[in-house]
Amino acid sequence: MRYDDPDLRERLAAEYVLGTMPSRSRRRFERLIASDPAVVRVVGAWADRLAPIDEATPAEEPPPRVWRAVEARIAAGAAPPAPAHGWLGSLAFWRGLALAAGAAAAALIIYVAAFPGRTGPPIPTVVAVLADQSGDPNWIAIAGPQRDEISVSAVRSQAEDTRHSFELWSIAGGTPHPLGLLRPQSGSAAIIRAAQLPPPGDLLAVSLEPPEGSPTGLPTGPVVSQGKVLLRPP
Amino acid sequence: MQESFVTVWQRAGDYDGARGSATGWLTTIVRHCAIDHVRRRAARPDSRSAPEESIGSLASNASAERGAELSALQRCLGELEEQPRRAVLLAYLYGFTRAQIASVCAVPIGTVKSWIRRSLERLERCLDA
Repeated sequence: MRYDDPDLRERLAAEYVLGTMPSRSRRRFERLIASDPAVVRVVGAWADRLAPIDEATPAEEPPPRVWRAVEARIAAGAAPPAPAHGWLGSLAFWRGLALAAGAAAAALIIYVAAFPGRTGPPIPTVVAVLADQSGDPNWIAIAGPQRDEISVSAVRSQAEDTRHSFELWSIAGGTPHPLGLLRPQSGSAAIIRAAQLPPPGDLLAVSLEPPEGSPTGLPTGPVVSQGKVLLRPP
Repeated sequence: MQESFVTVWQRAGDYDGARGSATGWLTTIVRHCAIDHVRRRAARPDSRSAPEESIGSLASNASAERGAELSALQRCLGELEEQPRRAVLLAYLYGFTRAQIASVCAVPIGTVKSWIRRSLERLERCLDA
């Protein structure tokens, strides 16, 4: 394979980081990484492009027995590498590794440990992204957690104001229907029923309302975010 | 998990801070250890069993600084068509092989390969723009 072709290297690096490379090809590519600094650079760039997902994954601190086993295996024979970089000896680095490892592995290892035999189709489905007037996305609607449910959560915490609430609306054919109040803190989702979604192409919108929500059943305050429904979950 | 820590220890000499973030390097190693584990067990994770892992809840976990980067990534993912986007997320979040994605999406494996290839090219253009 012509690894000196920059386009090919880029494509392989991307698939390597994504994790779709077959095992044998991956071993071959890892040998190339060990010998070619240019490949290391493109792999690093891809890892950094996708890193926001890892860093947003909830941290999982490994239990103490993992540390004990790692220490035993290292002491038992794995030759420690030359610590060419100061970070290797830093406690903060290893603590960071614990969190990074947990973040990266949470979606894989924990599934395997907890649900080894399940085979249902996993579908992380984005239903809609609601953006403000400047186009910045600030709410996202995702299928789940249960079938027929949609979770709507803040992409980042919204400015809280005790005099106002954020109310979600379905706008089907131009007619608003209230879907409930949203939670402005990131990390906290409001659940609506999938059947309440307008058809794909129609809008979800968020308006500022009194703390208990709109008293009229129609938006009374400004619409601060909106986005088209991309799809209805299967 | 244990395997990934030992691998990091063994391969620490490969890391060069000038060529990418330590986090990205670590994450790639850990992901591959996890993928190997999944492939050995021939198990397929089920997102419905742990929906908190969905990209939606990831968004709500992001720090303000990372939130902007995650938003950019989500925007770029949002520009992909539904099935190719699903393929990319199944691979990255759940460690699915091309064959598993093909099975879940009921398409030939060649289609999955071209979805992923085109999606990665589009993501690169969008994120680097």
